[in-house]
Amino acid sequence: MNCAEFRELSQAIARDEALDAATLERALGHADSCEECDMLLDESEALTSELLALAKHFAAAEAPLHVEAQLLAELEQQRAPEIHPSQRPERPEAGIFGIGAEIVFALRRHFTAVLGAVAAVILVMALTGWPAALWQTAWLANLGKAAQERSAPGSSTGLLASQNEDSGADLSSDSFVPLSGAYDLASLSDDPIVRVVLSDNDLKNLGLPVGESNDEQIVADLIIAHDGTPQAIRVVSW
Amino acid sequence: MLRTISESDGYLVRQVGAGDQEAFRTLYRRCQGPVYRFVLHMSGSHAAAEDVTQDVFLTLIKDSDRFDASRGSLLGYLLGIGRNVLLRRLEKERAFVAFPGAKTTDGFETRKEKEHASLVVQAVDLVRDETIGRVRQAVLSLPTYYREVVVLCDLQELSYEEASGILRLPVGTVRSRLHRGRSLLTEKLREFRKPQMPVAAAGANKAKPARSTP
Repeated sequence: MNCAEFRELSQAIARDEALDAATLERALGHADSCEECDMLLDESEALTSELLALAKHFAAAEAPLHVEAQLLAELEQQRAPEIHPSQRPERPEAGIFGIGAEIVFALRRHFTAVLGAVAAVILVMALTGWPAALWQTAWLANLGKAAQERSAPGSSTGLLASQNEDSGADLSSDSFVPLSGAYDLASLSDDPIVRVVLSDNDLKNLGLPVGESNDEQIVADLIIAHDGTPQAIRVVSW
Repeated sequence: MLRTISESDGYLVRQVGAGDQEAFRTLYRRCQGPVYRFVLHMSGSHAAAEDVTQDVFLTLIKDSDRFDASRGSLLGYLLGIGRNVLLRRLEKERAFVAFPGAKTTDGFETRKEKEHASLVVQAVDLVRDETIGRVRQAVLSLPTYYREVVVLCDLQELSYEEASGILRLPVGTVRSRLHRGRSLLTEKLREFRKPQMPVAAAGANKAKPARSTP
């Protein structure tokens, strides 16, 4: 081995890199016979020790603690404004129904929140009977009030009430039956018809004949006058 | 060194992407030390090491989905980011040219002087041992492409393969740059050793046993 070849290997030898035994033997043999190369190997080995000492000296050097705190704050801030891109549903292409697609995208993105809100509303409605109960209560209050007012002696609608009493109010008929205190039925042809669910008590409040109370409810259509009062009833199902 | 990082890095990085603070804390504590020390050895500045380390982990937070565990270790990935951030920073600093006689607000003649003074203070504070100080200065004076190989392979004890992954260089290039870098260091440190070596070497040579095996 000559000096040039030895210089090529000197750093590898000093770093204790794996060399084949024959090459190592020839290199060390050359160092024994060449003072310059022997010195070079000494220096290279000293360098290895010095670099190791430098590495050890800074082995405990780490970033200050506040860096971790700042990064954690950044992570928190990063998470707060939006869901991470990898968790986001893909944004739809805007096309002919671009606006609709945006709404669908927003619903998909907030699917859980929307689902929760709908479930909460349904639960409230189921527990309170709202809005059917509210709607029905309001109507029935009107029905009762109208019936009382119009059936009162001297009332301007007394004629109709008496007509109703006289007719005996046949609820089984397919046609509308005027309620107590109803206006002229001919004038109600354009008024709206509303389908409602009524209890026995509701029927009583409307001035209708009720048999034994069995807590059943009936579905009926009501003709509603322009002032919001019920004028006639048609039973849909018992 | 990379072997100390467990195989669950990929999972933890995904958790970080989902905003999991505990996962981030675990990864940070595993990797911040090597990243910090790499930049410290490369720049000689604790301030730079702190800034770059912060940038590296910010990148992990913001672009966690860019890490692909099948392509290498997380530490290698982070060291690669650290290297890029540092090189950009060094390039930027190099772009500043001070006016002759210009003083910084700190009273230093130039930005370079200020940094040098800072290094000297750090050297006094942190590097008590003269030999270590010399070696450190010698490493810092190496051209960047030799310095980074010396830092990764000799100071951080990474293999040629690991260093080649971080530097995106062929293993052979890493090996030859390390050889050249070490040769330059040997030359730089020879001046420092001169007053000591002749005496030691003269005595040592006489009594020195043969290196080759009998």
